[in-house]
Amino acid sequence: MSGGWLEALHIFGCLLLTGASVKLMDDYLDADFDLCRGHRTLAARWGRATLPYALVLGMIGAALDARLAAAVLLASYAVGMFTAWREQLPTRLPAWAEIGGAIVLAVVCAGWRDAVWAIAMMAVIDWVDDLLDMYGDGLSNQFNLALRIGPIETVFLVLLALLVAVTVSPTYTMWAFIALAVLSVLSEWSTRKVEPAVSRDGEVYHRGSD
Amino acid sequence: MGPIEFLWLATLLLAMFLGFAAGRRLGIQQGRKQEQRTLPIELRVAALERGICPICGARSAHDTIPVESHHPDAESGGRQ
Repeated sequence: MSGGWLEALHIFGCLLLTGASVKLMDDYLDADFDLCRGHRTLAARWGRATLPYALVLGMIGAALDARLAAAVLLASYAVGMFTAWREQLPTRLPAWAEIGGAIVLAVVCAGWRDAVWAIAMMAVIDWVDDLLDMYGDGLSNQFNLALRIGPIETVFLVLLALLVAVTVSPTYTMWAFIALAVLSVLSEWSTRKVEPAVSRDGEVYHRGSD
Repeated sequence: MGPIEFLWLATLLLAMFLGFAAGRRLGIQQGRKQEQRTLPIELRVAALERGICPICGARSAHDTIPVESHHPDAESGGRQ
């Protein structure tokens, strides 16, 4: 019994901390877009210090379950790059090549089952996030799958990805949703609302000081 | 869930996704074509009823009687 609870704690802890690491890095990259929408995230306030903190969280998550952490991290990268698959990246490789590389690495590091689950689950989270942020992303001109292909179509893709995730590992999926809820609450709590640079009508106006 | 059930569900979702995506895009195309056919007539009807061009707001040089009974918010245009 205690072994089962300990394993569950490891899985949840790994998903929570790796997810927090990915979220911090994502918020750091999107800091300007978020500020434009009036959200001053933790990553925006920390600036460059975000990266070492994100690394520490990721390492602790990996210490709890290395295979799962590797799968989640690489899958997050692959799914995040889906939207810009034709772009040329700093490595001089096209994004689709790096996506393929990340998927292969995930399979090698975590096994094909965990890799498939991680890709499906990260896709669910990313696309649900796009559905919820449709309006805001339209204002700040960020890529959004729901804006690109339509909200109903995105819902069908979410259901498809969720079907894959639940079929491969219902336990991981359950813990991932719980970790996502906790991270969402923490993210909301740590984000400060500031006066947006763009009003709801699309009018740009300037703020006095920060 | 067995592999057959998974395949059934996946095929169903994929079919719904493709069907909706294709149907919505075809519907938008059809709607645009229909609007292209009917818009000139609608604009002309609006212009003749109100005596004002709905696009540029210019008053009509023709003697037009506004249909006030049907359009309570129409301005009296055309005649005087």
